[in-house]
Amino acid sequence: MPRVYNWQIGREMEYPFEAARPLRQAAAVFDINKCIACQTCTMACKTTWTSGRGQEYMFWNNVETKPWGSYPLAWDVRILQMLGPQTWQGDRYTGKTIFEAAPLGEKAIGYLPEDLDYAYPNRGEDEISDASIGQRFYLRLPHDAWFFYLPRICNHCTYPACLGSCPRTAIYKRPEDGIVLVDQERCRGYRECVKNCPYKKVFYNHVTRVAEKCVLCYPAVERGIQPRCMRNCIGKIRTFGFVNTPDKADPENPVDFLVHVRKVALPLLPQLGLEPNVYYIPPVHVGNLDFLRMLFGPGVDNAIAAYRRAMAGEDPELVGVLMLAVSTDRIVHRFRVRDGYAYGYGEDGSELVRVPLKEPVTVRQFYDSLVGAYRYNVT
Amino acid sequence: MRCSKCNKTWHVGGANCPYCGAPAAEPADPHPVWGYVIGGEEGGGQPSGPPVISRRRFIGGLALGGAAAGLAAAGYAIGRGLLTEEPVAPVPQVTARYVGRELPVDDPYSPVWADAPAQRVALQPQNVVLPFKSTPGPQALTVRALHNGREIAFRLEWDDQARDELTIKTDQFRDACAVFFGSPTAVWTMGSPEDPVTVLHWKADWQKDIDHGFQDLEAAFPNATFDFYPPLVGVARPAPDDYPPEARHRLPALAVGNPLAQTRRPSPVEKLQAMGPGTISTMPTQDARGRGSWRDGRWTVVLARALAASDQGETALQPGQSYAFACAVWWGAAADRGARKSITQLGTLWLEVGR
Repeated sequence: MPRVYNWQIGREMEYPFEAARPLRQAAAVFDINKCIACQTCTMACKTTWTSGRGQEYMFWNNVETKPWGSYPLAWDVRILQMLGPQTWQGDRYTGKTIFEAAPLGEKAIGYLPEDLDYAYPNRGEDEISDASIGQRFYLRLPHDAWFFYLPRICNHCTYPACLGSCPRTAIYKRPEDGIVLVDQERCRGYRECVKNCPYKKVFYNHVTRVAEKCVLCYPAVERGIQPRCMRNCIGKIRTFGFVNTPDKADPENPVDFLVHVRKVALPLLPQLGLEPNVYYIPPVHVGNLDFLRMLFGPGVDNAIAAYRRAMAGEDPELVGVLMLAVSTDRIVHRFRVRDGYAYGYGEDGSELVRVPLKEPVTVRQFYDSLVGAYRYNVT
Repeated sequence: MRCSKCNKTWHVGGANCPYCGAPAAEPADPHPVWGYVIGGEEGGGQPSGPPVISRRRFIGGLALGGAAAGLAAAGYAIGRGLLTEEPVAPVPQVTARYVGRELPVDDPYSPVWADAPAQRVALQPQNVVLPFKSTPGPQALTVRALHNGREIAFRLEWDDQARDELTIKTDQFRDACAVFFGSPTAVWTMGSPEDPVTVLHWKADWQKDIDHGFQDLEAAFPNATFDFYPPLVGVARPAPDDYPPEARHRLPALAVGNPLAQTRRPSPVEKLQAMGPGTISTMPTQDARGRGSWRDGRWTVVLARALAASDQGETALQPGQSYAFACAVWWGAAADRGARKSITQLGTLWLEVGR
């Protein structure tokens, strides 16, 4: 196999194709600390793209509860079990990726889920990490008993396993924005992609009998508008934009700032070797850091420290970027934090949105003389 | 086959007449065919008897199948042949017999098939192009071919205890078979850009769609319930064809015309062109015909096409000519699909000149 450079694991690795990075790479940052699992993203996607016959249990966007939840069932546990124990040395991954661990005759390790695996999208919802806590339980931070929500979409990986394993090259990565698509005309339903995508974000349509996956709302992205799941996020956890490689990181680009400058946003299971392009700000109150390191790699400790600094008011720039999340339907290409406001700019440099770092508060009179009534809520 | 003594014909079983036990009276083949031909003159005087699926052959085949990756294909086939009770040719050398009548395209069990010399050919797991077939598969298949000067038909038979005719669930794969033919210089690995090959591919799920109507969601999920599928409000059991044209994008592959996603199929046999691994594509004119049937753990499938080519790049066939030829079989229960298949070596197809 050719060798390609994966910056998330700090080394070259094997991949079925030569490296071909897109002109720019669509990416997103999800702040797990703010996700409330309202599933509005899930339904925004579901009603837009997968309400057809044959797509009943197909969720291009889902929100699962960690540590016990997963969709499809045990996707993360199973692929990690197949991969076996692996090692990092600092920021360099010294274990095997799913491509390097492939047995003879395969392009990557993977498994094909059964239908029942898709039938419980909310299994494990809101279950805490440890139910066996004794009676004397004191609330402290980080939490001894914890859970958090993990919203997931296709990662539009730089080195997609679905693309690499399709025998027909029916899956392609768009050079203009790095979005990974299944050619609906060309796919013959072999399901090698379903098998080898470790995130299990390629699905089989039961009626059309071919594979389908998240399209990152490319018709919207082409017009400078964010995908539906991002636009509709109630918790405003999602920052959508374009990510550069670390050597070309632009500190004014919101995604680059979060991923490369402050390093608060981390890839999901980087050790699998796909260089996924959805990044997560890890939850800061989880009592088991090893679990987070397993999910997000060795950058977890730094990310939590950086996030805590921002929450303590020591990093207004980081607060500003996070305040811009879901503040506009348009894609924010650049940002600036100045005089208590965060400004978001479009590709042409025009101002798209400005958000105060602190919500202004107005206190009204208890008695409304205009209508002659007392107010119940004065703020 | 026709009996040399009582002149009765039969179409399943071995080279001995099931009525009187006398050997079959196949007309002598006028051209050299390398290998073993059941019922042909190569087997003449030493009929091999009816096909028997023995445990010994199955286990032997499995053991050798496991070792096949490291063996030369011919050695593999010959080695397995020693363990089987039937002669198995390592390479297909198929003669398309001329018959001056309509071909039994829709009847895999037609007695007319007895006119075609049968050849039992070794199958091996595909392990040249990724991904490999790493699961057990059939050991051999029996090939026959007939032509009538206008059309050619192949009959493939292979053992398959599991009958896999649905591709609805994520982990359901179809049984299937295919023949490919091309110019004598065509390469084994699905042809090349300079020398494309024509493929006829029969699919068990397509056959079921044709025989019993489109196998919709409920065929695999009988208890499926739903509120409604936009915009089909109030439709009790919506089928893909119920979608109005403006809502067909909700069945994307169907809407863009993917041949695999269609609900109405004229034929269970797809005509394709290939120019190397991973290049297989449906030809514009779908005029291949055929029919497959499963009986007692065995598929018997007919694949047919006109001798003349109807699409650009398609291989036309002419009596008296030889062509590159190979077959493949997919066991759905073994998760076979695409390159995960059991294949024969690259052999030849010869079309007998009309008499």
